[in-house]
Amino acid sequence: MILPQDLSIHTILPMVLLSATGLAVLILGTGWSRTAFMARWLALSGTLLACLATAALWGRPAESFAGALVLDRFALVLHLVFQISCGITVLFSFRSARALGRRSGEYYSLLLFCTVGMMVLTAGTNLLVIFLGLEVLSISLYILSGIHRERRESIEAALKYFILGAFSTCFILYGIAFLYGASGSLDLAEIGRILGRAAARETSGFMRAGLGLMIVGFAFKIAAVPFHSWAPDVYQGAPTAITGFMATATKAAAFGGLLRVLYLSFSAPAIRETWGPVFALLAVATMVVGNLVALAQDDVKRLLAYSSIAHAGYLLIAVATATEAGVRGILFYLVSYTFMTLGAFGVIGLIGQKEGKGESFSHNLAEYAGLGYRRPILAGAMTLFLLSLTGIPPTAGFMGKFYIFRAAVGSHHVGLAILGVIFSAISAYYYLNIIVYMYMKRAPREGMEPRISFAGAIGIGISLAGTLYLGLFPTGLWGLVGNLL
Amino acid sequence: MEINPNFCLSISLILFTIGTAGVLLRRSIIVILMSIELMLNAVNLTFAAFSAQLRSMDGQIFVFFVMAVAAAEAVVGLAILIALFRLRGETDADGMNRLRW
Repeated sequence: MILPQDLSIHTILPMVLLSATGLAVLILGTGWSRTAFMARWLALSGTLLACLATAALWGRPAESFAGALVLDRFALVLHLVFQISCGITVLFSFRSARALGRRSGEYYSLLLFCTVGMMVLTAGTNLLVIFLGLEVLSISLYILSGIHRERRESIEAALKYFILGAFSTCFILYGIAFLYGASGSLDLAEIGRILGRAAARETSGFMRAGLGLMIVGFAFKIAAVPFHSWAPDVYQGAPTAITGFMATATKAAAFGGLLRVLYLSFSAPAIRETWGPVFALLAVATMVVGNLVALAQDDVKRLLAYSSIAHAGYLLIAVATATEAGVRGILFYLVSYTFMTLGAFGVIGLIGQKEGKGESFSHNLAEYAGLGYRRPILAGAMTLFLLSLTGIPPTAGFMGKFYIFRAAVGSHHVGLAILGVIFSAISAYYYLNIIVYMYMKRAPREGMEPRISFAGAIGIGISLAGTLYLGLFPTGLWGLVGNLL
Repeated sequence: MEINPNFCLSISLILFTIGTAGVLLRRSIIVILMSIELMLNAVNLTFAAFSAQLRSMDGQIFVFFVMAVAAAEAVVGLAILIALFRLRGETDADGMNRLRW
């Protein structure tokens, strides 16, 4: 057997570590209940190790498997986002996954496998690898969103997610098939070279069809309007810790995959002109629908689901600019968005914990009345996350929006930037509404104190630190995400 | 006998359209799952046709991966469907109304 010279196994060490931990957790989880208890600690330490291994790869751009996986800065930043998101999700699950009993092993191992899928998706520069990463990530999430299989809401969410997820995968696949037909290659850079040469003469029908189908497929995955209808249902029905993971890491992974495809294969100027306006349209539709429907919600979890659609709209503005500054903006936004959204969903999950019954399904706004006096620290953290989601300085959300809108203005998309600012102002209404409930409404009755687990408190603390740090000292991360592609 | 690649591509386009229509229009979840399989097989046919036309093996390798992943996906989809059937006793998409705004 002949091995290619540049196999460089060490570059996939973080993925191997996470996969191995996932398998170990799975085996542990099948045993008696004592080992199920250990599963979460193992999952947490595996994630930490993978984080360290990823950080060790920093600064040495590496290719492995004959260029099919590229561990450049773009990939490494996103990998750290996934791993941090996974770690915080494990912390938030300490209490909520206990209701699963023996099946908590499955839960944690699927979470780890899902993270591996995301890493493969964003490191892949070959359409086959990207497809496999996408599927590992999606299939794990189908199961995770329906992990409470005895509850109708959870199963309904899983089924909706599965049907629309598989449907969108078909579109991405058909797009890949057309791209393959138009170029004869599955390697993104190679496709880019061939299409770039062809674009000088004419753009072929297969290329346009392939690009269109892939945009539709990825628009489903990032929940862009009009392909968003699954997101609120799935976000509401899934366990809250998993919802936070889906809203942050999965969105980051889908954007990472999309950017890889766009910038490696469709970056020739003539082709950029074809997809730029499409994303501008998607961005406007997504901001309008996400923000306006969020105004009408009285369930906090569903409200945040629509808010996450709206944030996909802001990110799409940066995609529409089709510039390197846009990519930098997206990466910065994804990191800051991960901290604030994970934190907000974490608080929702902690408040939703009812004694003895596991997690409640309803997260009505009325339950937040008077929280500022019953649980001052928790409510303070939630306030900060909500202010950050609105985009108020000195939080990470403000800096994220600032960089995205600046990229839009810099590439003469002033209209998009203005719309983004207007809709950020509208979003203040529903975010601040929660704060009003927490501080200015009287609690309905006594005896509904949420009990906060130690691990959950640590998870919230990390999210809080990230949100504040990126808001106060954004230049560190902004420098790191430079010169990416 | 040589088969014209354009013929295969047309067939795959027709199959993909039928599959899409099935997912969007049918109410039975089992039929929806079958429609998704149909779409995946339309994709496979496209890959095979291009692979023959371009004289490159990549397309055929991709077909094997799609088949493997489709099998995994079907397993998960049917498992979710069984869990739903245990809770509800039917497998119709119309009854999925617990979650709505």
